[in-house]
Amino acid sequence: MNEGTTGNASGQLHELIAAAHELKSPLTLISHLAATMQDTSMALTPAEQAQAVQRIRLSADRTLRLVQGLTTSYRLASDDQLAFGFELEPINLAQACEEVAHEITPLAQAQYQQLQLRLGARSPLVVANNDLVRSIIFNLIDNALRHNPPQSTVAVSLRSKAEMVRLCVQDNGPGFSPSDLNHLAQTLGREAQPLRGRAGSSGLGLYIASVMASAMGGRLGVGRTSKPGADFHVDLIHSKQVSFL
Amino acid sequence: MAQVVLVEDDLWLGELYAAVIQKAGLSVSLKGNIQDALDEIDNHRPDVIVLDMLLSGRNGLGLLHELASHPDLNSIPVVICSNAVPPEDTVQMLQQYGVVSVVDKTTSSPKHLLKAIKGAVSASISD
Repeated sequence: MNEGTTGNASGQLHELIAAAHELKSPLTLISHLAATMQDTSMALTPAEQAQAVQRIRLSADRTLRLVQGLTTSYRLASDDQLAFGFELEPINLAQACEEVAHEITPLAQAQYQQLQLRLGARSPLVVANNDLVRSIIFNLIDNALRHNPPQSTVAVSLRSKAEMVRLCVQDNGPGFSPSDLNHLAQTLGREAQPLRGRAGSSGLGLYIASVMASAMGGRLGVGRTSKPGADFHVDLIHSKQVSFL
Repeated sequence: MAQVVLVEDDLWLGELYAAVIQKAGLSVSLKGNIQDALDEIDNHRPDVIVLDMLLSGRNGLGLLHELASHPDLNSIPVVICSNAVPPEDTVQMLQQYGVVSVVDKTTSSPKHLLKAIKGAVSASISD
């Protein structure tokens, strides 16, 4: 077996372990909520039952998104016949953020958090694939919601540069030491890795987002913040096409 | 009424366990991190501590070390409830920290956790 094959197998095992770790928590929650609903001695009120059903649904949706993202990122990263083509087109990034935020708001609210969109007056277009962009935005916001404390805000913002458009997602969860931040910045996208100080995180969502961004000529990154929390961003190629809509 | 401090940083799981404990007639205080849990334990000296091991910031072992260094707190029984159940030799070592039960979240239900808590409360009262 050559070195490349060994490395690839090792990487796949790494992602598999990360996936198993990442899926354990929501599946445990779903199982425990269902067991409690089945237990008649618990005598859940209608409001408690409704809340349990909503949390089962939100956790299942979150888990399905992760599995779908993992499948897509595997195909994008592989060079075998499973690889699939995808179309790049001008995408209105602000509109994509608004649509994803609308879909993920029930999850944020159920965790007693708020989403704040700072998208600016102009809507930058990026050269991207609509499904992949939405998946990246989902992963970044979902990652932030996991670590953001209750009663606080996850902020989504856009910044246009000459060649790229940067989408930033900031949370108020545990921050990173300078050395951890440097390590993270250098290794993001190479493999899923647990985020130090952020328990329960396998880094799988960030890895998936990174693979998707790279496939479109973009790049995932992590920035320094002046306050506690994390600032993950993705740079996507700025489209030269103009929209006055 | 027996007092339980529940240390769990998964908000929804924490709220679920807290509801189950409360419905069983016990008083429960849910804390999402070690520092808040230590403050609560220091102020109210609960009958039982339920502890997740994988927590943001300092992990569960940090809390066990802290409790062990306080003579007035080191006799509080601890029930570990975690996705990352330690290996058997580590579990033996954890007994020295007052751990009376280890519940594996992935293979148990809230009812199992409640049973372990009730067992710990009984042991605490009989002491």
